Amino acid sequence: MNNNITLLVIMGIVVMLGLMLSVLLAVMFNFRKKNQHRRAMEQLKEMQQNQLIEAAIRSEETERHRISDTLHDEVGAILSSAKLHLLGIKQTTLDEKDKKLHEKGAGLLNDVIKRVRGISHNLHSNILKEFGLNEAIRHFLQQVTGGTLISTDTRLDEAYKGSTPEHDMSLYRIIQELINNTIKYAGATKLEINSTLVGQELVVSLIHNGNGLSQEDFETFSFRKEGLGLKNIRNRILLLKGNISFFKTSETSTVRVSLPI
Amino acid sequence: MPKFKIAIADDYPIYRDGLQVTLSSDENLEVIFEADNGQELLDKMDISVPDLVIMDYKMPVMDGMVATRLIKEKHPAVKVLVISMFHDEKFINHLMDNGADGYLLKDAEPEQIMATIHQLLY
Amino acid sequence: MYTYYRLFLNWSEVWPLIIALLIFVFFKQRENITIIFWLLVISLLLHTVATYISLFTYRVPEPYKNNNILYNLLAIIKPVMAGLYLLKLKQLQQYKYLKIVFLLFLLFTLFNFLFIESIFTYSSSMVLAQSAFLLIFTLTFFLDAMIDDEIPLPLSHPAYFICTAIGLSESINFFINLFIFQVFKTSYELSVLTMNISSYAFIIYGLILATGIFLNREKPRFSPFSQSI
Repeated sequence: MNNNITLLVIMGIVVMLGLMLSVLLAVMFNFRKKNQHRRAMEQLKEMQQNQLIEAAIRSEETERHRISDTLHDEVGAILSSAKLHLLGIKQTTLDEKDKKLHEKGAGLLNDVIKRVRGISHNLHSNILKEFGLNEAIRHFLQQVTGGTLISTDTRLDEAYKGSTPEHDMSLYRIIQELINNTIKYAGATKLEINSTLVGQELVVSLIHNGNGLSQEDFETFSFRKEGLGLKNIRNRILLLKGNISFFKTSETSTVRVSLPI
Repeated sequence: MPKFKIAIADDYPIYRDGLQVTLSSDENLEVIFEADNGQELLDKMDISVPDLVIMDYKMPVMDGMVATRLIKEKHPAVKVLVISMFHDEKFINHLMDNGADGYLLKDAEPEQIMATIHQLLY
Repeated sequence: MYTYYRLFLNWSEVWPLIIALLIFVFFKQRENITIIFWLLVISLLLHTVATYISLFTYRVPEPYKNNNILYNLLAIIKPVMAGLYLLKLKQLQQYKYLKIVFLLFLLFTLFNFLFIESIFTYSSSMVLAQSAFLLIFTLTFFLDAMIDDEIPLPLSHPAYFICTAIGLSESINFFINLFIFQVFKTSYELSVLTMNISSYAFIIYGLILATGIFLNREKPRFSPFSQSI
């Protein structure tokens, strides 16, 4: 009788305790599993977001290419032909007033041809594909500052042999946008672009003597809608897992972009 | 002076029109045919051979680079003048290496076009 | 050495509560567990008096020699307050049966002490009912923590510790209380053993509660330097 009761009580306690402990363990394991699941979902969401950004960038490039080609080829051909037609009119058959109009017409045509070429190049450059990033940067810089008062200098690391086409295109776009911004908003008269290959990273610096952005400016502006294309830059840099920083002294402003290749 | 035979190849008819207008300023030049692309140009050249071919670089089916090379192989005496939109030095050198005799930008002045043609023909 | 050990065990229903309350007093709490605070205060009071009576019976005047009423009161107050705290939690409000259990428990208590047993005698059915009540509530909490896919409470939330403390101590005590009279009648050694187990269960209860209160701290209530400086 003694032993039965003893046994019963001890067994009872052990069983109950065991049950309760297994409940607690189950709760903890379940918790860990839920955390893992949540983390996996977050990773998935981030990957999805990256894919969306990539898709957006890719469709933008395709569109730009399309427009650039149309401008370059079709519009360019018509404009050139118009010029040839206009200049086919012999000036000797015109009186003074008509001569002036003729000249002005030819001048306007020349002007528009140049502008169209500029826009087309801004949108898409074959030079990047044919001759590589360094050449494309030089070409673009010359395109966009030729005929202006801006003096430019480039010191590009020839050791950089180029990366995947998308990579180079993204980098080219970033530099394009930065150059465009600098010319449009900073009022610089001297522009210098350097690039150095440091290990597995390409570091490109844009140095100018205008009124540049500070790091804070970049952070705030890149979230606004009219963000000076900064949002685009930010997205591309994010995707390429790179880094961008802005420095500003009283004399010069620097933008430094570093990208792993 | 004898008439020189010219062939024009460009995938934009409107530009071919413009070239015709410019070429019409010299009576000694006669445009014997036009082509839409490099392949058509070569086919038509099998029928009648021009003295000078004015060719665009960017054409469908067969582009200017390939056509230049083939023309130089088949009709080495024919002069090839490439008119195009690209104005990068490296690109132009590449074209010249392929056998082109001259290069002009599409928005060149008519006087420049005529001067270059005369240089190549005379 | 042995006396300290005996002291340790004899007052095992008091000092763990003191520790828990001290932590409560010294640290501001993040989550609101005021009900638990009052439960601890009342428990401390009742347990201190009950332990004093049982240890120093000879000093206590005659009418008060029986501390069973105190334990009965505890058996009512503890489940009620713990139940109230748990029912305030959002995740347990979807389980309507908990409210029914609560009601049944109150009805049973009333019925039991009005008609069946005297409140001054040790009521093992009361303790049983209390254990069952608390086990149902805490197990529901744990069940919900497992099956609920939406944001579960973080593991540092005091409710986990409260339920663990209560759950562990109740599951140990359930069987003990069920057979307590048989045990007393049967053997002295067994009685001592079960009483010791009970004491340890209470110590565990108090310490787990204290841990939960400690982890729930936000900042000290009393800053080291006076503010007037």
